[in-house]
This record gives sequence, C-alpha cells and structure tokens, in this order.
Amino acid sequence: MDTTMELDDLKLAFRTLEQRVQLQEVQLSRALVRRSLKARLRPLALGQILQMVFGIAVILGGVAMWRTFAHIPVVLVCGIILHIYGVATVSAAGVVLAGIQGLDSSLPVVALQRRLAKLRRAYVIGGAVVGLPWWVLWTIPPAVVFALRAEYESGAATAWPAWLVASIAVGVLGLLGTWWFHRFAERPGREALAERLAASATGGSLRRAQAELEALQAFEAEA
Amino acid sequence: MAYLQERFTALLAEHRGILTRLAAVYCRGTADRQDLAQEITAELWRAFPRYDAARPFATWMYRVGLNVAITAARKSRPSVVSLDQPLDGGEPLHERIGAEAAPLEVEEDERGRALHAVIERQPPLDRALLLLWLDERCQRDIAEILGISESNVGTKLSRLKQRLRQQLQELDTD
Repeated sequence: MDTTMELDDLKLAFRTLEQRVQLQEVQLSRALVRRSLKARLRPLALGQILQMVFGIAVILGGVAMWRTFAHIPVVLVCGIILHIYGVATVSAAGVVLAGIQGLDSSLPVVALQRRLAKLRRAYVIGGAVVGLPWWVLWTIPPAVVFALRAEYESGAATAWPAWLVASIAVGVLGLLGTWWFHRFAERPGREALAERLAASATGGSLRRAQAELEALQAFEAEA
Repeated sequence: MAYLQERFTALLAEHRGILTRLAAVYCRGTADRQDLAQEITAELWRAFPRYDAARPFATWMYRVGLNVAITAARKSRPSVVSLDQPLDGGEPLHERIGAEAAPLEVEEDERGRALHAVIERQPPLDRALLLLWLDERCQRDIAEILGISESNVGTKLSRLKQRLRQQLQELDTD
C-alpha cells in the first residue's frame, strides 16, 4: 500500500462492504428455530437428565446397601461410597442443567459469554466427577459379593483374594495418579504437555474454559 | 402468533442492516455469512417473545446477534473466527487460517483489504467493539450491548483506535 490509511477510511470501507454483502431473506420455520442456542443444547440437557436418573439409581442402591448390611463393614463402606458418588453425579448434572437454564441470548454479551464459559467449565468438571471414580468403583461389586459370601456362606473364604486387593490398589493408584498428572501438567512451564492432553483429556478443556473466564474478566475490568 | 410474527418480520426488515453488518464482520464467504444470518434470525425469533418493546430493538438485536456470532466462532469454521482463538487475543487469526480462509467473492479495493486485515486481527470480543464503533453506536449503547461500564467502553475504544492505527501502519509497511 502506498499511503497510510486513517480510521475514517476504515469506516468508509465498512460502508462499502455493507453495501456489497447480499444476504438472502431468511424464512421463519420450525427447522430454523431448531438452530437456536437452546435447541442446540437440548441433547446436552437430555444427557444431564439421564445422568441424574443414573445418579438417583446409584443413590438408591447405595442406601439399600448400607442400611441392609450395616453390620458388614465392607458392604457398609461400599454403600456409603456409592451414596456419595450418586449425590456427586446428580449434583454435577444439576449444575450443568441450571447453567443451561440460565442462558439467555439477549443478555449483555460479556454476561452471556461468561455464563457459557462457566457452563463449559461445569461440564468438564462434572465429566471428571462422574468418570474418574470408575478407577475404583468397578471393584465394588466383586468386593461386596466376596464380603456377603464370607458372611453368609459357611466354608467360604474369609481372606481377600489377591486379585481383588491388587485391583483396588491399582484403582486407587490410578485415580491418584490421574489427579497428580493433571496438576503436574497445569503447572507453569509445562504448557506443551498440557496442550498434548488437550485433545482428549479433561485437563486441556478445563484450561481453555478457565482461560475464557479470565479473558472475560480482563475485558470487563476497568483499565 | 401471527401478530407476533408480523411484528417480528417488520422489525427485522427495519433493522436488516445489523444482520448484514454482523455477517460481514464475523464471516468472509457468502455461504458462511448466510449461515450466520440464519442462526441469528433463529435466535432472534426464539427470544422475541421476551423482547421488551420499551427498549430499543437495535440494542436488543445487537446483543442477540453478537452472542450468536461469538458463540458460532467457537465452531471450527475457518472463515469465522476460530474456536481456539483466545477471547483476549493471541495469534492473529489470519496467520493461522492462511490459505484455508474462504475466498473473497467480490473484488476488493485497498481500503477493503485493510478493513478485512484489521477485522481478522481482533479477538471475538474486541471484534464486537470494533463493529459497534464502525457502526457509529454511542458509548451508552455499546456499554448496554456489551455489559460493561461506559467509562470502560471509552477506555477500550481509545485503545482500539490506537491499535488500529498501529495495524494500519504495519499494513502500510508490508
């Protein structure tokens, strides 16, 4: 370019661009309304409702276990763990559903984008709350079966089988290891490692949601 | 319902320019612009029953339109500002999308090219501010649309203009 343009030139160019852009008339239809924000979030809301139903079923199972077999410590502990997991699952889904309900596209831009970023963060954290405990949760059924047999079947083994102990140990170590690895990757200076996690793991998505929230706060902040 | 639709259609026709401006600033190709216009219209129509007629339609329409445009920018459409572009800036979009950008379908003069270059350098929220400035909205309107204070709008506008001048100079030296 030969000469430096001024800001007024940008405004002139904008007017020209506006005249050049030709948009076809958009017809109102059911298909069109399906493209609205809330409509597109419906599958997500449905998923959260199913998660709530699952969580309630887990709570009922957990309560039945700890109430019926309170005298068998292993079953009591497993029941309490399931109860807590169920409550966490229902709560995580509830937070996301409330977030979806709070979305209103006519909110001021910064307010809606903040709600969306919070919703994304809640969804990512909720996914971790529901998913990560399965490192150990899968060992509950065999542990309960073993404890009940030891209690009610005469002649059944009372010593824990090595495979079950090893599975629980691996599960606990896996859970702690995953938590530690995410913390490790989030530390300053390890951005490359965190980015490698980003494509498939919770850590990167959470970082992005958090970064969005920080960017919005910075935009909102009085200079 | 028919009355609502009639009223909506009339208001939309009256303020059609906003739809054009939003599509022009947030997308480059004709198909993407049309797509964004449809998404904005869908959202406007869905939200219309809650529109307070005592308030200016243009402000309300800008809010809804910008919210849709910025949210759409999170999808990986190369000709819309990218999902991964941080809201606070970062690597300029045009450097990342490079040849993937939708081809321009109209001949552009020097001013037009400069306008596109500076638009694409703005992260989504600053792009909203740039659009409202280009459309010569007053600070009060901008504050109401974006949801920040008027004084903050003033500060951000003066920084934006400073940045635009700098970017125009950079383009000039290129």
